[in-house]
Amino acid sequence: MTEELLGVAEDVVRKARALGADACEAYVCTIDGAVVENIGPLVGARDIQDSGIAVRLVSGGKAGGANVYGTSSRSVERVVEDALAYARSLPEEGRLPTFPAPASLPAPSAVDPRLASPDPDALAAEAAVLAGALRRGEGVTYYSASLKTRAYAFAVANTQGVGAWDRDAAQSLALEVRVTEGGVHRTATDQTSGRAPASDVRDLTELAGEAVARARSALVSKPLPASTDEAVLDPVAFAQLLKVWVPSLNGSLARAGRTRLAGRLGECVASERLTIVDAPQGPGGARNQRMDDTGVATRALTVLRRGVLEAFVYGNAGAAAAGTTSTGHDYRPSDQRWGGGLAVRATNLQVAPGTATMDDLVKGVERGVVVRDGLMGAFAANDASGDFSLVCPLAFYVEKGAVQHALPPTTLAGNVHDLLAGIEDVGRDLRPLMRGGIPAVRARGIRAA
Amino acid sequence: MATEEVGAWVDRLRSLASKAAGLDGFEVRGEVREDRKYVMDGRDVKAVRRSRLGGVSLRAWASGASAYAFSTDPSPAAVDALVERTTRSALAGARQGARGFGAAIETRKATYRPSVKGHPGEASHEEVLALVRRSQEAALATAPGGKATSSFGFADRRVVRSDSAGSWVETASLQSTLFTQVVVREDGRFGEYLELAGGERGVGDYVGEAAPEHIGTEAARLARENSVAGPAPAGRHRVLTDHHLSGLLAHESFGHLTEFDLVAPGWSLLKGRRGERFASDAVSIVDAPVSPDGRRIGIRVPVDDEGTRGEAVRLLDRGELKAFLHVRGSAAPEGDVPTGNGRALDVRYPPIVRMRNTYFEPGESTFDEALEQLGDGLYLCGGRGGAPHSDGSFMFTSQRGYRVERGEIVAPVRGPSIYGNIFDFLGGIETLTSDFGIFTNYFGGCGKWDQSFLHVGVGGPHVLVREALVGGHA
Repeated sequence: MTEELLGVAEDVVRKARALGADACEAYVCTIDGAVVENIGPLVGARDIQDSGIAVRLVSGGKAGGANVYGTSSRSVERVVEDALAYARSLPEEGRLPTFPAPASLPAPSAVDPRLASPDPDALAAEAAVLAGALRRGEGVTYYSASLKTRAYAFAVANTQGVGAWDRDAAQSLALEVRVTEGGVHRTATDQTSGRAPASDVRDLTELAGEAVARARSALVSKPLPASTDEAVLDPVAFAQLLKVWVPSLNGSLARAGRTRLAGRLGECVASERLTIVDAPQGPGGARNQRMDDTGVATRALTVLRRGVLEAFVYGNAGAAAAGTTSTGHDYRPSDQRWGGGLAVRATNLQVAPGTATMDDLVKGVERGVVVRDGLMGAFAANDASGDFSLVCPLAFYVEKGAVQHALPPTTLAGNVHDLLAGIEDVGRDLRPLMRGGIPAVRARGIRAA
Repeated sequence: MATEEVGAWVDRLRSLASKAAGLDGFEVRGEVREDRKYVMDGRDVKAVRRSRLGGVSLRAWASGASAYAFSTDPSPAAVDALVERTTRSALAGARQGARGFGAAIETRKATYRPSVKGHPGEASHEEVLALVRRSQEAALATAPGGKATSSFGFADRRVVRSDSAGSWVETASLQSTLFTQVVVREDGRFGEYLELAGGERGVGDYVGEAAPEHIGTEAARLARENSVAGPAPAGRHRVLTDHHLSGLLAHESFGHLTEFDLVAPGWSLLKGRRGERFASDAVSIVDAPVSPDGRRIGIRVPVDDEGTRGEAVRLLDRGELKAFLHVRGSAAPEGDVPTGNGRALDVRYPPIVRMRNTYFEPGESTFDEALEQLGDGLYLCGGRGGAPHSDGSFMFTSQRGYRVERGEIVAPVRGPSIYGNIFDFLGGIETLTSDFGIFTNYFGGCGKWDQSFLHVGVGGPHVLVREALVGGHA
């Protein structure tokens, strides 16, 4: 299949050249996947078999781009014609794309065969196990459980001579459970994501039981006695806030002065306890690719070492403008990868683990909160400034290292750059999530109220 | 691919599916969709892209279980495989006892087309880029040291739907948006703002408050204001929300709780509470297929992806819970009629219950009267998004805010999040103004399950709430 995709990509490039393109890049991708969602007793299943082509090209000094569904010869003709028509009809010269030259690539990563060809019936059976365990929990009045598997195969070819293919596959699990007692409702969520079936990573029945217990532990709550600036964030909450920070690693944005990390390469921008590597081959993370979506080889890149900013991430265009080389971070971010444009981003952050258990982290809190679930509103945080203002639906008040009581939903506000600077300890257990391998942390500088 | 080709594709799939054994019913949907995006960064055209999607899908029901699959490959072999996969999954689900909403298929024949001034799909690139450039120039003139990005995008979606009862519905829809985002750094402090206008608009419909000059100028002005804004005071405050935030409140805090595929499984705490009073007589929330004042400033869904004609639904009618939002299969068991809320992101997804234009109905106060009634509190504007929780709580984030003392706006504050519980919140509404606005964004929308982001409209008047928990900033 991958060799066939490469043939299609090369065909696109040939056709574009034949029709007058000066330079061209073709990205061809197929997705084989399945989604099963248990929303309470309602079960929905969706089978995914999808494919498409994305083209970027230059013609007459103008840039054009187009995407199309399918990989048939008709799709090839249509996408080339669309991209050329766009380039030729533009009223002025835009910014021209930069296509990389071929480079040696590592061998393709191994893909779990159970994810490479997803079996919808097996996925439905696993989701049913998870949903059943949630449903049986004490006091449960609502539950949902979803499993998604996606296997990608893709190829890239360009007029510089790049012609390569790659593949990756991942499964993600998400659950939500609400317990009700005496008219009080509390909800817990959980998630995991990785390159093996979720049931290999966690026992699904235990996972459900832990979520129910977490929700139940917050049924009796008291307000925070006074605002605090010390917090322990569980891996899901920390991952959500790291997502706000990730755009500031974009070297092009930094050069343009659009992020708080602008001009700070080599400086201490975070706690010395924090080391973060963007590791395409690490556990967890959104992508496990030997090359990025333009054919540039990926490699582990330490962006933060003991709090010092060591590197920005670049795609081809940003690197050319900065007089440096791409770090292999041009990605197509949408689920349907050919359907959108390229974005520069770190995809698989691996936070170097510390030695602390969750209990150790809590013991280090003088007066603060421990966040034990995802945060509401993290997606709406301001990634230009780093400001966030959100809500912890499931948190506990901690005094002198001991959990005192559960809290009603509590606000958490601050700036993600200040948060990273204020990290005092890092947990030892990495959770495989879409953002990467992420631990729990203890930090100062974020205000709970 | 033209609509006619999709129609032929749908016809062939319908013929094959009708021969599949063991199905209670099925529906076939074909779609051709074209998206275009134009982006300017600084004074450069950064990107111009065209994206096409075309395909057919089959949803099949067997003994209460359903299955859904799609194909973007029109070949006979792919269509055969689509029927086989879907049938097999539906029958397997039935054997395992999986239950979803039933088929409830009815016969309809209809055709719908949008009418706009200068369809962007037929306009030249020069015409479209002129809109983007005008907005960008206005932004850079207002914030000379700032960084500005402007973009125009649109989706032209054509759907053909048929089913085992012989229905045939063809629809066309258009959603477009022009936005400008400005980032400034003044005295070492960042300020950012994104201003936009969208809806079923052609190139010639970007006038008045949707004019590019207005969008660019406002984005720059408000980014500069945010750069000098102080922190919002965290804690409980009296709050006045603007049109956009009011709409988010209607959508996030209440609308999702009325979606019957969230009511039936118990996610929504409104289950079994029809007829209960949640707010004063002054408060009504409506979900409608078109914006209420007839202007093309919301989205337009005259018929949904299940072929149901859209009707305005008064969810909360003068404070009382009156209705839920339905797909066709969920309405009959509840004794309701389908409401036209069966919407899919595109042909790759099945229709589920989704909102359209959701808004508070206006009240009678003027803005100045509402401000005076607010007294001491916060006036919060614009929205970055929000999320509901199954326990009735919600949060959403404003783009900017103002401290109000004795009915006077005294200082800007950085846009905080606002958190509450729907039942407390609705009961705490004191005043709604008579002005009205509704917003939609081609580049964003509503996320539900794995279907993000669907275009929706949110809106209303200014709404004064007795108390809300404000997140503030450190």
